[in-house]
Amino acid sequence: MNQPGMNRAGNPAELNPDGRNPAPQGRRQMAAVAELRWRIFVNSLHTFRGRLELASRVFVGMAFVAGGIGGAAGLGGAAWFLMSEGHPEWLGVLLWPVFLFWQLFPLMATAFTQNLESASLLRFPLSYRSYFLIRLAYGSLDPATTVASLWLLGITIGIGAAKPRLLPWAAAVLLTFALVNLLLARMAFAWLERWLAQRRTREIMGVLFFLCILSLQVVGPLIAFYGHKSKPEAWGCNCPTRRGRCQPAWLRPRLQARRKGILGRACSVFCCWGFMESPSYGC
Amino acid sequence: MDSAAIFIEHLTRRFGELVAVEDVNLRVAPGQFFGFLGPNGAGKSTTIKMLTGLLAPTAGRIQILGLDLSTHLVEVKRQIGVVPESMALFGRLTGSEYLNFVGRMYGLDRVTAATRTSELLQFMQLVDQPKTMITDYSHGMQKKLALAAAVIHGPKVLFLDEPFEGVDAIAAGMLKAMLQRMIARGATIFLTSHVLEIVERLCSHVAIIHRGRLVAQGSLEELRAGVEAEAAVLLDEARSDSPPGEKLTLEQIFLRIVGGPRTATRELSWLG
Repeated sequence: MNQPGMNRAGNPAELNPDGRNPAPQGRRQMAAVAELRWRIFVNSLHTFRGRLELASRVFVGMAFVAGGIGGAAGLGGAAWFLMSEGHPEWLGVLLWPVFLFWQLFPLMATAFTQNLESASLLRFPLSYRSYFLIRLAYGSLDPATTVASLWLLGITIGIGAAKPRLLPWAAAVLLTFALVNLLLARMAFAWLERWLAQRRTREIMGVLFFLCILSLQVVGPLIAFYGHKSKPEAWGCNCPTRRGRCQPAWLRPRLQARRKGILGRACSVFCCWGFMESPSYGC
Repeated sequence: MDSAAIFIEHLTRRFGELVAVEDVNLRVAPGQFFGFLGPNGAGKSTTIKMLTGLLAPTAGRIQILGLDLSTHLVEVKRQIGVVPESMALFGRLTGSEYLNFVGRMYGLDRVTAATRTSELLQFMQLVDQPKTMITDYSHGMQKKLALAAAVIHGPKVLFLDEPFEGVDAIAAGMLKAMLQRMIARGATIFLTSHVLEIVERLCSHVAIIHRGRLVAQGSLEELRAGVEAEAAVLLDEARSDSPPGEKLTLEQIFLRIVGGPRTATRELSWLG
């Protein structure tokens, strides 16, 4: 067995006399945080409520897997169809549900879960880089991120199957889109985390979530009611005769333009997030 | 660079229109047990949050152990320990798991963290609850655990925000002895507490903050002398509630400085 202050090889030279490791701590701290999350999860299983929560998580997890794979197949099929039919400009429509789900679901889901408040890690000697990465890791493991990433993968495969030469471009654009979403969601959380830590706020978010779900029921009648307007002229678009040129005014960008736009937005969101995180870090 | 363990210059913190801390200047020498007092809402916790890097000041400068907090935040955090007002424990961990985690966050290797954890749990008499989650601990036990976490890495400066609140007399005595041993070994302790008897017994120097402003600071003797001198000049009744020949207690000094009533001036008729 190792003595205190010694490493596994029993070499005390690698440690300071106070048992502190002089090597950069970032990775060790991240490992400690990962282990903390694991221990919290394992310990939650010791209680009846924890076991019930696990059971519900298994069901919810299965629903997520089904939704993720099903959504990926559906969106992938839609992307393949649009590309095969020569309507790449409509691909943007497929990204809206992904965007909305990615941004809104974690906020709504907070109403039903008690998250580990990452701001409570601020009293430890975490470098800004480590803190940033830990928060990013929190976001990457989010169910919304996993499901939405699956959907984007489906879209990429769909585009690649229809037009193989566009696959690298599609992958680059959608990867950037994923990064923008991840950072944007984390940015929103950086501001809302403390607010959402209060039970009352979570309850309000829960009510909003149910209202949101109920409002989806209205989508069908609305589509039926306004369905007759879904003709090209209804979009305010003077349709050119060439195939594939007709598009709504608000859905202008082509694949290339979208790529540039998203790259620009990714950079600004990234900078914004770094800036907005600074006060919470104590800079 | 100042040689003080804690050096504060023109420290100010505003929350919109509210000025929580205003132009505070303070110097705590190394090895001092320093008491930071004030009525509720005076700005004590806000000051501690700024000193520990959890809250950015609106204006002013903070140096801990000669390091500027704004430029050496991580290095300062490595050398200080904190028991925050809210304790900020992770309720779904056991005490042992929590201390191990904190030790590793402060850069201790696994073996050292485990050894110190076991020693601290024994010292704090928390070994009887090895499988109990922190959320099931009593308030006093949580305080002891928070204190254990604050010292696991052997900090040079310790910030304690109400550390004895809810702690039983036996544990409080044990904690006080531990803190005094830390002082004897050269550590600096910055303590806020509403229990003035404890502050009087432990602290060599005291500062009093009132409505965000520092209204007095110095050794207990200096504060006492100041209050007595003022009372003598004003022919005041500052000593009216202490028998002749006896020293003023910290509570009397505190009430005198922050202007609190020495006796109940109003009565509630419905109270027997």
